[in-house]
Amino acid sequence: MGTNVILDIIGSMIIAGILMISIFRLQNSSTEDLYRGTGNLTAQTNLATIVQILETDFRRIGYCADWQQIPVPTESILYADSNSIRYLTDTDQNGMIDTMYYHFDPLTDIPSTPNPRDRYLYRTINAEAPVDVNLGVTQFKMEFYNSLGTELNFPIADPREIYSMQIDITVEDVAAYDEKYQTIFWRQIRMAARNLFNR
Amino acid sequence: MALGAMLLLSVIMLRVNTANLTNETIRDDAQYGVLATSIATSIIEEAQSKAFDEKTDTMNVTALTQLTSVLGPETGETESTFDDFDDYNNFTKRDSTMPSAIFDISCQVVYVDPGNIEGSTSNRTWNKKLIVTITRPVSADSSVLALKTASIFSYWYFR
Amino acid sequence: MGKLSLLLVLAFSILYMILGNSSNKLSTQTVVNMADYNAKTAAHNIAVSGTNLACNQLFLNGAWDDGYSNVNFENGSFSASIQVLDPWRNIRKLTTVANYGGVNGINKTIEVIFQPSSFSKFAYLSISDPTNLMWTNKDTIWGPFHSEGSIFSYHHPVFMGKATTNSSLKYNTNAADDAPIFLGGFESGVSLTFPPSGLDNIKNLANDDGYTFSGQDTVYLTFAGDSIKYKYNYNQKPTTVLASSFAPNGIIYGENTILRLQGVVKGRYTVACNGTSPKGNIYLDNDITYKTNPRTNPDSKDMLGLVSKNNVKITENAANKSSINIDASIYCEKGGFGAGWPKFTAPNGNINLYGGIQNYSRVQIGEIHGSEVWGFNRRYKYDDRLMIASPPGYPGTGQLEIVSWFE
Repeated sequence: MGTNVILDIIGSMIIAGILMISIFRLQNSSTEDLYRGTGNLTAQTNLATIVQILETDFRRIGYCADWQQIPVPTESILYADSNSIRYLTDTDQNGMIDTMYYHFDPLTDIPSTPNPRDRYLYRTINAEAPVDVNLGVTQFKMEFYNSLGTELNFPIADPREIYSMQIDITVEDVAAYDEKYQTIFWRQIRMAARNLFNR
Repeated sequence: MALGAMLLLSVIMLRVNTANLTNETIRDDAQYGVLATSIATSIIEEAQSKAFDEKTDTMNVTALTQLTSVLGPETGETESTFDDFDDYNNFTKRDSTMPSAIFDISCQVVYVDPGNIEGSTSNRTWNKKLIVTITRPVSADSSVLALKTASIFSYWYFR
Repeated sequence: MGKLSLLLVLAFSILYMILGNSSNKLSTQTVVNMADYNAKTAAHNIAVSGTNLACNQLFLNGAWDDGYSNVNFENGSFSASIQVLDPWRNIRKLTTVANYGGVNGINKTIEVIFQPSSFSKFAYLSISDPTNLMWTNKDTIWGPFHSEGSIFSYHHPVFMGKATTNSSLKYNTNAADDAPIFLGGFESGVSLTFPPSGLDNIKNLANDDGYTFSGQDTVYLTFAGDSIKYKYNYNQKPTTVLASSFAPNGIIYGENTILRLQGVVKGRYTVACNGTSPKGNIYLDNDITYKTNPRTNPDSKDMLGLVSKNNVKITENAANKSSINIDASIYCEKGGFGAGWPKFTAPNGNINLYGGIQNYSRVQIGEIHGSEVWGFNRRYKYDDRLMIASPPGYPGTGQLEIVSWFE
């Protein structure tokens, strides 16, 4: 009789233990999935935001509501390298030329985020203070091609040769569960801008 | 009761894991959708940077009869030497440069009548439509459609 | 124990339901994010497609203004309309509005502005240059360029403005050794020819509010700042008139004559000369320059167009034996710009041209003798002001050009 009770107790404890371990394991898995999902959504949303802004801005290279302000449209790109580009545009369509400067700093870590790879992507209009965009960008790379399809080597001696570009962007979540970061890569090849080859 | 609890737990575990995997698949598919859109945009941009037709690449064309009737790359042309819009007709390519997934690109170019741009015509017109289909292989013999889109390119220059 | 286990499992199942709901929402949001990006891209594609269709119509008929209304395409639709912004200058705007997703969907607008294109825009244009004419590494063409024939390239010439041809790009050897550097883009299959009666419009304008010389074999015309001097014989005393009232609209036209030109130009003028060869030629007897130098003062309002039925030539005389300075945009409908002397006997310095040249076929300016050039060297520099302004009544191409593209 006593042995049966002890066996019952031991058996119950084992079963309870298995239950508890299973539950906690499942709990951990669900929590991890939730955090991963949040990180993935954040990274995807950030990527979509960045590329939509970029696409809109780059389509307006050389555009000015008063086109006579930029009579030679090919002179709109002032500087370009693998991480940055500076060009003339008209951000508020008021006929006044603005200078837009995209710059990615690949070296300086963002101290406020746990992700050691994310960097600031700066978008500067005219002489305003740079707006540092912390959207988890870990890579922002551009390649440029001339009108004959030849890749232009850096440093680009004359940005007026630029006819098309390839843009590579990698975005990660700024913080991740158990340091398992979600990485999303995006690439697009595009003509620099139609305005450059007017006239 | 304990056995019942374990049975219930096992069902719940199965359900939760299935839900987690399904959600992960949905998130991944959404991510692939964004990438597929970007790939299609790249193809369209590249195609529209070329001449409208093989004939218009080296001369001005004033009559529809001067345009090529057979759409596609000329003999010996490859992607790196495409020089006109309809070279992308029947163009296929596997893009494995993306770290996250492999995409299969398939293109078709047709003439379109301005009065019926949703369809196509066998007649030569001043307008062509590029249809880009992006699929993603999920196994050795099956793929899922990631994106299908189209864009129209027309013959014009303003100098 | 069994009850406790069951209660525990039930409690955690409620927790999993909550977590699962959140996870589902996250997944849904990623799909919404992707769908939103796809929708915006689709709307843009539809707008570009509509714009292409409308541009084709405008290309075929510069007066097209029918537009498009709610044309269905790719699960969306677009409308396109033409608006005349300036009827006097015929500046038009094409607006394409695309919609994807209905009333609550995405709208995308593309606006393209067109204006009539003038030949004066070109730094260099030729219809039929010799086939052995090479553009070399010693050539920099500073503004828009067009050749109706092939562009022959040797050792990387530089084209600062947009370069177009109705033929193709040809290399002396291969692309690696000879490919040009295009700093303004390159496009082939573009045709630009001279209208057969391009001087008719100038003639009408001159008759309206300019000045017409007729019934004279030769007209000697000298710009002298505020005044203009003219005579019909070399030894004749010139008649001096106030420039502003001589040709109020700035157009001076010679009918079936030879025009001999020199001086300092103040104001905006086009000097045109029509006739069958040997008439219909303009000769530059000496420098013809601007009073206010636009090279140092970009606000200079002085601008000159020389429009000839045949040629614009540099006179073989003592004044031109050591360089000539020319500030003008030059148009030669059947001939070309150059010296065209029967024989070059010595170096004659430079042709310092500030403006542009549009000619049927270039005229010889010199020849190589050993290591020397007998005749002239080219020092052509494009007048950037010609990108946004042109001499009065200067021939137009008859086509539109795009000056602005907003998307």
